[in-house]
Amino acid sequence: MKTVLANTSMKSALAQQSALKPKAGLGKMALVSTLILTSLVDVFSILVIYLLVNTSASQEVTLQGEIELPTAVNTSVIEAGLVLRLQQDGIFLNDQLIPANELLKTLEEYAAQDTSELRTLIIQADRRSQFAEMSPVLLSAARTGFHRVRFAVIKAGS
Amino acid sequence: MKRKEKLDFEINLLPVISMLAVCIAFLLLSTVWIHLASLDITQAHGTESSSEEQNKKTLFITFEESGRLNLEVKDSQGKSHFNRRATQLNQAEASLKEALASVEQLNSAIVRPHASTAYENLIIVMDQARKQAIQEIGVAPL
Repeated sequence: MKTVLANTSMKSALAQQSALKPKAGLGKMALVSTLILTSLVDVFSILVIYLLVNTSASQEVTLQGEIELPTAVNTSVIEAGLVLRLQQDGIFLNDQLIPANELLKTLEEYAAQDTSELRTLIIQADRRSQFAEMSPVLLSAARTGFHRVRFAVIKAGS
Repeated sequence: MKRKEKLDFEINLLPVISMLAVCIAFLLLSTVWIHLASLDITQAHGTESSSEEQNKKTLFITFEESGRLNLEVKDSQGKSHFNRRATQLNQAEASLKEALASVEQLNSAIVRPHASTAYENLIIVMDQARKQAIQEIGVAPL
């Protein structure tokens, strides 16, 4: 009684493909082992679809600078708008450092470019900062027609 | 004599798997896992008519220097309908519920922070107000 190994031919795929002298096991069964790749493809497809959906749902506004935003639960989806960042080293409007005494003038310039009725200002500030630093920004926003002000927060649970 | 060629019906999945693996690696590196959201406030821009605000009740949330809160509901004529003083921040939710239960049609609030109020505490109060379904929230500058 011959063993399975004795009845099978172990041959390399490259040797079989040779055009000059193909080495095929004559009269012996080929031992072929295959992997079931269907489930692997399924898992990969699900992962890709999940990551694609997660990426597309992300906001246009990104967090920059060394700011630790506060967290909140009952939030709205953040939409595009003029981003104002309050940092230790100054006020940044669309990533440009603005001196405090020129904030009103700069906001007026931005307001002149945006002709929509409800201009949007997104404020990013560190959670430890005091309201005294933010008050001039709110005043300037109200004076220049930015009636919709959004405080950027991190949605709790993310 | 023509040799009949065997047709191979097997699909080679290796390139598909390679491509999916590359996509996964790229998306894992580029995905943002922190979700930014926003808390909206409304600022008055002078277009509301006085007749609309005749019976409008507004909740005023005032921060003291000590960090405690004073909650008061007033109508447009200045009459007080609810008053709760020196509330701790962690009791803000309970006080807000009490204010909403005692006053009908309360849909707007104005937060008056102190200069030393931490931004985080302001957000906490606004978040609690949103949780109680107060839609119009304003922040009064100093």
